[in-house]
Amino acid sequence: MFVQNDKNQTSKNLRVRETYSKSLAPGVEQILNLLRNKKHLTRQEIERTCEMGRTAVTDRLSVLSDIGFINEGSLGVTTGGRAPRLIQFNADAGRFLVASIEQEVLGVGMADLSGNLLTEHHENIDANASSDQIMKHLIALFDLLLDREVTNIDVLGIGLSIPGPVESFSNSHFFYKTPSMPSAWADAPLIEQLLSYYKAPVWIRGSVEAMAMGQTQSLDTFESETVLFVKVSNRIEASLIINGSLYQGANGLTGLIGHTPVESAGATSSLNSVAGELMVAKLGNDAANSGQSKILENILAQQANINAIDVSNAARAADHVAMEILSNCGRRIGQNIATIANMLNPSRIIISGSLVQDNDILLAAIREMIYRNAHPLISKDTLVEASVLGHSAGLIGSAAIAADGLFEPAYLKQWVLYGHPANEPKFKGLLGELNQDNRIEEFIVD
Amino acid sequence: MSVTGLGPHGEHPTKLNEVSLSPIQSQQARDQKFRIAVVYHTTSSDWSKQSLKGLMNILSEHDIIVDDIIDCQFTPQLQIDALTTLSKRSDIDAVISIPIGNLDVIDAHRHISESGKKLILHDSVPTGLLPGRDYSSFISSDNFHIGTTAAEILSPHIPHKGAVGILTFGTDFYATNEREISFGRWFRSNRPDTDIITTRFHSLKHVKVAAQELIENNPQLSGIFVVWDVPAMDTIVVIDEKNLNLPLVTVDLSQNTANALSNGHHVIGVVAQNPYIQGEVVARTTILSLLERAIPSWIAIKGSAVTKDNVEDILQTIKYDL
Repeated sequence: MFVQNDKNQTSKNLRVRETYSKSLAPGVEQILNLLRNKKHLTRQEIERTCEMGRTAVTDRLSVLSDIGFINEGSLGVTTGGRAPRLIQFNADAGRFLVASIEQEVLGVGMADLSGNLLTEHHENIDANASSDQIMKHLIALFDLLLDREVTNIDVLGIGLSIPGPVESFSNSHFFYKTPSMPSAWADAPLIEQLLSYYKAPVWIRGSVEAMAMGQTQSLDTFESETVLFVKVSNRIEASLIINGSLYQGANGLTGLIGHTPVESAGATSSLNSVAGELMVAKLGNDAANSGQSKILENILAQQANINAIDVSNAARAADHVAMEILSNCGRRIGQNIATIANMLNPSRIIISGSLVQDNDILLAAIREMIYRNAHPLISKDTLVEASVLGHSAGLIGSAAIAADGLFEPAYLKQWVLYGHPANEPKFKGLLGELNQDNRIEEFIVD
Repeated sequence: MSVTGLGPHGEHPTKLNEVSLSPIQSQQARDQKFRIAVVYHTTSSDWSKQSLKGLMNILSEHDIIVDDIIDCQFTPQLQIDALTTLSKRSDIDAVISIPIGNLDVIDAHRHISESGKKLILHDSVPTGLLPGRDYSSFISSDNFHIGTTAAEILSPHIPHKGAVGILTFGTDFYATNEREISFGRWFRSNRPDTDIITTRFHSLKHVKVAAQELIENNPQLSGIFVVWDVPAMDTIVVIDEKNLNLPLVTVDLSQNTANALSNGHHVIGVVAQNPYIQGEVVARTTILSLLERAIPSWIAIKGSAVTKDNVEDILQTIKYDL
């Protein structure tokens, strides 16, 4: 059982700003987003960029300062007379809770309002665990992160990533119910529970998209890069970031490159089945059982099965059979990526997954095939590299997605004058509806 | 006993027996005359002393000069100053560090790798530092498994619908976070009838106050898990002052916890790390990193459940010379 948490209901958030809401202070969202994207600005710079008068800017800054979203910091450079005071976005005015729910790994974290990850934790989850069990454990971990904070903090949003493509809602700024796709979560009130419990809006994305966002955010040059992100696990999936923005296709169903048909032993299979982690594990078990690989044979003597990580570890220990398994799978993956690269001309191709975590063999084979099969004018400038973020990429990406959602201009305009999304009338109405949702009541009683 | 946790970025663990030096690599290391520095959170605990002993054993075998061993006394600023000084030194090839805190010390650690030195982390990784970019490798116990083992030891002492206390570190520190989370997860999964009450201390000076708060505010407690041995001994003092009989489980088999366990003085179990072995693994990993060999991003070492019945055997196994 867990106890209802009211940490995000600080006195600041409970103050509804009637005086501001009457005027709805046009330009508040513009100034806030300007400050989010710049380190700091003077009032004059804000007036100039937003094309607003001094009185209006002073009024809007007063609103933002009252809510706690901006700080007046150090002095800027004087152009004659008094040095101007620099104004900056206060990323510590609240927090995002973020989670990455993979098939066998659950990651949780907390990020500031600029999307910087402040703390994180990852653990194995039972692949057979029910969505209800995962949801309860997720909330227990979120509570633990909040409990560890010395002072009460405001949760202004929650970012989640889950496996597979996620159905999006066009009629809302955030997810107000659990989408029917992916089907694994269709019957669990994940979104409803988090909304109701933390009283904060939720955004959710497919895990590869979130990882790609996270990976790209960590690049200094992300706003000018075209990044093809490829995750190799049981499934091989990709995502494309163009100039810092996620490409989502017509229906959000992008990057399913593992379904590409490939020839193997005279038959046609999918790339997933001939080069994914399940195939790596199968070939590893074959090598252990046949005695071809002494290292894998020794590992198998201590456990029930060889998994893909075991093959990767054996390859790092220079086991030739394990190295060949990874190389063959890498070449198949690289061949497909080369075809995609010829079409998209990415500036960077980033490979992620446990098999590239600790050795370069899979990466080298992928790189070899890209450089061999992509057009020379494309391959000569394309960087092919391994992700160093691991599962953190999903959390960083989830934080970026939550920040994008919370500060999306139309939504920001809707809630900012109330100080907290939960104080905004439509959100309050939604919480009232959720109070009538029997599934949530049952969950809390458990 | 298998490794069950994941690394600070969700990495799968590499077991310690997968990190070894060939005779050729050992000779290469001797020929290079490397020079390193060690920056520990403390050098005064039994755990630290044993870890340093294992570390020095392997490093001296390879003619590596340990230029400095810095005791940061659990003070982030001391660590920042030490790392800043080391990052400016051109005669240091690698730094082995146990980070204190999280975001406070991230830049100081990053300066080490930016200055071209190898950085090997032990027991914690500040959020945002990445393997391969900011540090070479991370070595720790499987702390998730340690928390689970502690819960298994304490559970039989908690009655049905009883309450169990966790006295844990308030600072964001990978090792203690993992222990706390896995201890709670085990009880939620296996003993859902039990209330879990957590109290945090933010420095060792405040352990007794936190222990008093936990015990006084929760008279229904039937047992306590304290996340490492030094605060556990302070907690025992508080339990004695209140004249209670409260079972306690902790981590690290120090002289004091071994005595308390042997004498039945509140401690009913300890999950022992292998600090000496950890020190050896840290040293081997540092050497492989200096030789530019591929090394795992996380190496995990299992702990051992210790009770009154096997405390003497385990003391021998983990090479404690208490």
